[in-house]
Amino acid sequence: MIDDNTLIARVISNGDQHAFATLIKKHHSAIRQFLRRLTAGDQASADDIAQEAFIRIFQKLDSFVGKSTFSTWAHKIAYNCFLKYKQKVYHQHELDGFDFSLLQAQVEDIEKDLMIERLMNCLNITERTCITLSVSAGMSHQEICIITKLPLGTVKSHINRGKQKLLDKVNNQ
Amino acid sequence: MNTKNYSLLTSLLQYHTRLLDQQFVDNIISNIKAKNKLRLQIMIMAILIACSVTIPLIVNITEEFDFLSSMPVLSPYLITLFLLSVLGFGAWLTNEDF
Repeated sequence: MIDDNTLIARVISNGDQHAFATLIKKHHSAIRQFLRRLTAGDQASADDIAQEAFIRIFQKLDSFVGKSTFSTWAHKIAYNCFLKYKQKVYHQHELDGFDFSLLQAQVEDIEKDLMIERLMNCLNITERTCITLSVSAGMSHQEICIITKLPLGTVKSHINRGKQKLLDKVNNQ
Repeated sequence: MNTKNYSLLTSLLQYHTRLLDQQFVDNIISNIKAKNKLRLQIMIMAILIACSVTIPLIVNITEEFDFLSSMPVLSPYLITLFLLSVLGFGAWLTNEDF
């Protein structure tokens, strides 16, 4: 498989849309999953934000200098698009009627993702972002600092606090 | 922190499915094509406007052949042209959607 940097070079030098389509194919799943967690399961909004993010990525691709991986850079743009969306329309929902027993049950993978997306409602936006990037996307704390522009200590405490909140929710139900 | 619950939470938080729909990729590519088309149309329109202002000016210059002495007459055109190009370029640079 062609690596990201080669694809990016093709897009920048020739405006190669086929190369950009390949780049999207490689990364859209992770970006959409990330945004679905941030929107706490509002999949339609998450996909709209993801689409906006990829268009922005295409427009700004020539400013990608490779200081971080393409994935980190793309997550950063997606996060900024989410913050912009949140300023306009976002509402925090309550976690009413959530069946916590299902978390420990054997369910389909797709249902597990849906449950976790909804469970994110009990965290604030920054905790959701840090937890998702750290545990779900497997990013380092340093990469999370780049994406969220938060200091390292703050990122660590958001992750720990978020995990504790989720554990309390799961254990107390 | 209970280790068993902690590992359960960690495994729950993973992405369990991979989203693969081609429709999403196609939508983005067609959106980009549409934006590029709009950008091209705006560029062509801007070039036509600039030409409509500058072509009469070029005719004047070649007829009189004395650019410096005709500056007072031409200055409104020059100032307008300069302002249009600077404002247009500034708007182009600041508009994130382009």
